[in-house]
Amino acid sequence: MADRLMIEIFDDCVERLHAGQSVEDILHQYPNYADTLRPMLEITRGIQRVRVPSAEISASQDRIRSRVLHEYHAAPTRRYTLPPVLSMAAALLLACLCLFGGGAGLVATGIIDLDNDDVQFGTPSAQPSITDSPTATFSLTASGTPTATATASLTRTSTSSPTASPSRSSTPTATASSTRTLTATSTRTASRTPSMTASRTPSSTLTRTPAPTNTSLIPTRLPASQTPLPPQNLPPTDDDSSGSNNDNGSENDNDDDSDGGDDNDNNNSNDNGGGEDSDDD
Amino acid sequence: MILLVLPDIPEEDALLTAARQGQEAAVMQIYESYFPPIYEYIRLRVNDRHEAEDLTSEVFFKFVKSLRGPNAPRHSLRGWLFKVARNLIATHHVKLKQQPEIELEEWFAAPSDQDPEVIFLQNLNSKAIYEAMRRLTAEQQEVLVLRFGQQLSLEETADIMGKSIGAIKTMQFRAVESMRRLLNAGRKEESYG
Repeated sequence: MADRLMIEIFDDCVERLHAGQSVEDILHQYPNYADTLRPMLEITRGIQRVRVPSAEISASQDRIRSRVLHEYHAAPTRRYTLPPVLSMAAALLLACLCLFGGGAGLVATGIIDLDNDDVQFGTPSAQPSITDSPTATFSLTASGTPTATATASLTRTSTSSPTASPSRSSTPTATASSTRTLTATSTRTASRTPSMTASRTPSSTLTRTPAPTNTSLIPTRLPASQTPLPPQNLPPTDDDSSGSNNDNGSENDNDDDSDGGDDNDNNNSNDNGGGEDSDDD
Repeated sequence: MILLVLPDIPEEDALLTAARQGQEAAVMQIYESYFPPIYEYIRLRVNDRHEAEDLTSEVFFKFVKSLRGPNAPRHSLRGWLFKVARNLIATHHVKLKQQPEIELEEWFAAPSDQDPEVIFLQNLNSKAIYEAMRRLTAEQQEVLVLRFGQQLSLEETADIMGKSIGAIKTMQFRAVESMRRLLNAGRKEESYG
């Protein structure tokens, strides 16, 4: 304890010495410890005066100056590089932007006919006909460094169901090529299950369950703000039997709002196309 | 006596910012301001002046190279420079595997004729003080050089040495106390001798 006190007092004395106070002035602050502090402060002052001759310092400084300047000019220009993880993330983000941008471009140029009911209401198996190519590859340079190059590849695939047909009388179940599975019914009372609204995983599954089994339970679990399907997105009654793709579009719209742009949507490019179609319309 | 005046922290930060932006004048100003304390710090811990010069130049080479890289100092330039110097000294000592030997006489300036206490201390104890310093542990020597020789703050010294402030306070106290005992023992030997 006494040691701790002396340590603090001595440090205060050192600070006062640094500030330019004389030893006598400092000792007046601590008269009870003056006998102990005086030799210690004398030693401290002695150490403070240990110096390298100024001529030696100046001579060395002059000799090194030109070399330091040379090193400064010889140093390579700084190039800012992203960390590898950020580079990959930036590349993927750009890939996503290109994908969505590419789809919008197709829509804008009329390659995709949004008014074509056969395409719009057909099952996903009919949509490969509107894709520009089955495989799209994007090479993106994420940063200025030669090594920071990321390549993103997208393969659009679709599966054909034996029961799929481009007509409006499609089967109630439409399976997309991606992980998203949509199940449509002919009723307006379809809603998301609670597990769907709670999870924001990219591989979310949207399910429309038949009314008799689930509609009695689900609305009581869902908050009002998360009403899964706005009425305007529901398929018309007369198209109920073939409205699976309209359902896809509305589901995707809702999903985009809640998921904030999940990467899974990229793979569901066909489905998203339907969703965008609905919006544009 | 050499009186080292290091730049204030705000001025130091402004200089560092300018240097990082590629202003050569700022780089050279940093060099002019910090070469003496860095060289002196190294020279007090290294036996050979040419070695000290090489190590000091290495400190500034690292500095100018780091300016254009991600490891450039952002704050506390002097702390950064002393840390680099400390690491280089440690590497140097490992290579030599010996304690630094310093010729004592050249380190002490001529006694001031205005301060009788200093005259007494230097005339009577200059060599003894340094001999006592040399008998301390490496860390105690270092803390005395940084705190009393370079007059760095507790925070800077703690940062450079990788210790807590409390540890630096204790270390400097213990170091001076040890020196006091050694000096007293020397006096007694002289008086009995």
